[in-house]
Amino acid sequence: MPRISMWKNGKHTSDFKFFDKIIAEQFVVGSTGIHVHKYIGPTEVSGSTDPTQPDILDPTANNIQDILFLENRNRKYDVDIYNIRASYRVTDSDFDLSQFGLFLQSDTLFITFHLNEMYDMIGRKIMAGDVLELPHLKEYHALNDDIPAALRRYYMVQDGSRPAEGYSPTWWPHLWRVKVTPLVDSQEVAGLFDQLGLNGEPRDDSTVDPSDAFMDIMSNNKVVTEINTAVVSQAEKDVPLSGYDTSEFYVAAVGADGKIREPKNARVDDITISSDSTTTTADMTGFSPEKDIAGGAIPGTYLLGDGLAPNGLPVTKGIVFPAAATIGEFVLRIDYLPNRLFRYNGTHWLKVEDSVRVSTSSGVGDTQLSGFQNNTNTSTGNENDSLAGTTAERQALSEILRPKADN
Amino acid sequence: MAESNAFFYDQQTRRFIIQFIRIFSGWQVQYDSTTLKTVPIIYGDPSRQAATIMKQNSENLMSTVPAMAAYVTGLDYDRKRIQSPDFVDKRHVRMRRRDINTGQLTSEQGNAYTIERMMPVPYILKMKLDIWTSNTTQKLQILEQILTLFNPSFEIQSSDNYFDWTSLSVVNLDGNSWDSRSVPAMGSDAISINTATFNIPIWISPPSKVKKLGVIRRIVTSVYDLNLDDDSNQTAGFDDNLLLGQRLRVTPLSFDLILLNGELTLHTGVGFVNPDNVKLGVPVAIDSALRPTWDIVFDQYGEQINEGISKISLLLADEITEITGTITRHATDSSKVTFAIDQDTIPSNDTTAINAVIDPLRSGPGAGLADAATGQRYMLIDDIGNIANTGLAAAWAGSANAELVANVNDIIEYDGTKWVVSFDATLNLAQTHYVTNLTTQIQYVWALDHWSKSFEGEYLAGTWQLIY
Repeated sequence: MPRISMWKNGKHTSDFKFFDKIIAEQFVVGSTGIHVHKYIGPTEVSGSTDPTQPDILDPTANNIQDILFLENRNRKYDVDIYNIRASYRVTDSDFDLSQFGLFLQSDTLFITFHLNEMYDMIGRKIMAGDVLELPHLKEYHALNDDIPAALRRYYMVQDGSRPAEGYSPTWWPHLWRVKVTPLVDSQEVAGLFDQLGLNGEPRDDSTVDPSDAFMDIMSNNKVVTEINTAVVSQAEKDVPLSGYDTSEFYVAAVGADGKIREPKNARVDDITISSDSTTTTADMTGFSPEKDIAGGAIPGTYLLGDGLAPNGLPVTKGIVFPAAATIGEFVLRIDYLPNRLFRYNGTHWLKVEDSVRVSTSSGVGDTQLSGFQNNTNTSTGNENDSLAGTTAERQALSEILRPKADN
Repeated sequence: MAESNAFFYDQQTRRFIIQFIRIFSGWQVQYDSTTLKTVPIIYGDPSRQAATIMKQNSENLMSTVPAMAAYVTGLDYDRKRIQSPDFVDKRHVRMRRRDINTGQLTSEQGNAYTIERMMPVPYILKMKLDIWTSNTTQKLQILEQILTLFNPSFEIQSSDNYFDWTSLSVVNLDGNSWDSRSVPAMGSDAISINTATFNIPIWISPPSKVKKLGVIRRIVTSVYDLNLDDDSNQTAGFDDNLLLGQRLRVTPLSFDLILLNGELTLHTGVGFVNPDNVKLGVPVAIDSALRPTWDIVFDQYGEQINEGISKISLLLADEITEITGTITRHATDSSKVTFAIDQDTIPSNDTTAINAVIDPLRSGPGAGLADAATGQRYMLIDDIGNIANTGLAAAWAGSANAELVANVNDIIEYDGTKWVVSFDATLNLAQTHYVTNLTTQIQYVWALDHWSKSFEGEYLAGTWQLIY
């Protein structure tokens, strides 16, 4: 009589199959259904000139997008969703109030699948990067009643391994255990959620749902962006432009003698002026100030120039001075950077101030941040130059004056 | 219970935090060649309830990555920047006038203010910026963009008010911690947080004082040219009566005033009215071409009048009594303001009211005037009767057929049988008296040698002042 042995030289015996069938049945009876979003590889890349980020023309789960940092940032997921049984120990979790909102502390789950069932259904073992949805954790009672769909519970697989309890007496494993953490709305899963509809199933290509509708609901991105926008709005309200607003201040037209200059030297106590004068009229306006606040009318002039004439007097904008000008007239030369305000004194155009107050918000403006970081200008090279053609002014130091392909 | 201090909170630190968050707003990461994602930033120390609301009170709502969070880690007194703690800076500013109808600023001068600012207190505001990314490339993309802002500082401003001397500061980058995880991070928490540490030297200020411009409205000086070589003056330098008796009054621009018919008109000096004109008639009108406008005066004070509230005070000839009244702009003449006198400031009469001011040589009781009745009183602008002439002035003889001898400026009264002199001008040379004419309701003052209107007339520079 041969000796009894559950191990048969590495063969999957009938004993193994018996155990496996019984174990699989246990999953059917007592486990929960899980939706598996299968990672199928990084997105396609072509035309790469960087060996550390090679072309990926036919992506598979074997590809690594960035072989320097060893990460797959842009991932593709199977449009099919696999429903498979699995079990895990439900534990209490505690909220962690962190700087980015609420995290679930110790909300790391270990979920166990039947190995062969999983392989038969998905075609491979569940791996890091796969996304699991636990339907039994679906949230029907969000704070906002207007949310049009239930909040679904997603996890990202971090690791997978054979659990110790998953071995039968045949020494063959029957289970696959994965470690999962709560999913975040990140670059890695942007491709996955872009293809899901509000019901959590593949989005109808006929655009029944807007492409971003799913993540507007499932992620806090929208609310934190709105909060950020509100804070910036208040910041812009507090400081709409750099420097200081002096437009409400009155600037006296003071002469060299320190006295306020009056219209054409007409003084109110001048008894030589008669009522029939044709040169001294009642509607004469005073001299315009020779200096604005920014030009030294008030000391401590830091970032005051706004290109506006003192006391709200009219300003003509242009790239040349007007041919005929009257004393006290103001011109803003917009061909100067920053724009420069001049005043005509009868013989010369004298500088009053430079318009240096600018917006410090993001975007195009006159700050160095705008001039370099947000520069959208282009320049055109000489025809005889190897750099002929239109190129962007904003260039990385490492790429300056390198020829660019025309196609 | 003791009285509470007046509450004051200007959100000074809050405004710096807002501007700090503004610095890190609007930055992007690149997902692929066509997709850019803006990285949101929020305050990193939310209340538990607010965080719950943001998460829809659910474990299921996903957090967005990448994201940034800024929060305060300290607010420390900075003794190195201490300056004179009790210093008070005083600034004067004139505002442009705002059109009350349109609300728009005009090119004219408006109100003026004096601003007093107490030395603010220096503090160091310590901030941290957490940058949460889901991969290394993302982290480098963010850091490469924002770290170039700090070399080593980034200028920051909490308000654009010219007088807010605490508004300007800088954000200094103290350091940067690459990752919250230990390397290798595989298998540990997937959350990778880069933390940058900043300090912002700020000032916290108590409230300032903003007052209407404090300008000198009238100067009263005592000037006495004392020659101490003169023996007679050896004691004069200590004689208050002598010193205070030499007074010089000065008002802005030294304009004189005419008060007539409830209107105040400016004029620029002598020549337009005759101050020696002792007649009771109306003086000739001031040449309109030579009247300055009231705006010139208001500009000197740096503010515009409050219609019906601003006042003008007029010092009467006795240099003691002042009458006041509210002023409003004249509808058509900018050289005039309407003067509504405060009746309580009008001097009280000390002489019984008169029925009329008359020329006794032109009219008499029952002859142009009412028949004589007991208590009738008239002020005379001409003499009547003569002590040397025994001939009777029949019109003024009364039922007693008595002789009346009275002089110009006298006030006569009928006692039931005859006219008698009630106020003898020749006996009242050194005293001031007030009387009202019942016919015109005009009050007259006895100005030592003649009657004149009690408060209407000319006021020289220094005898009037504008009160806002």
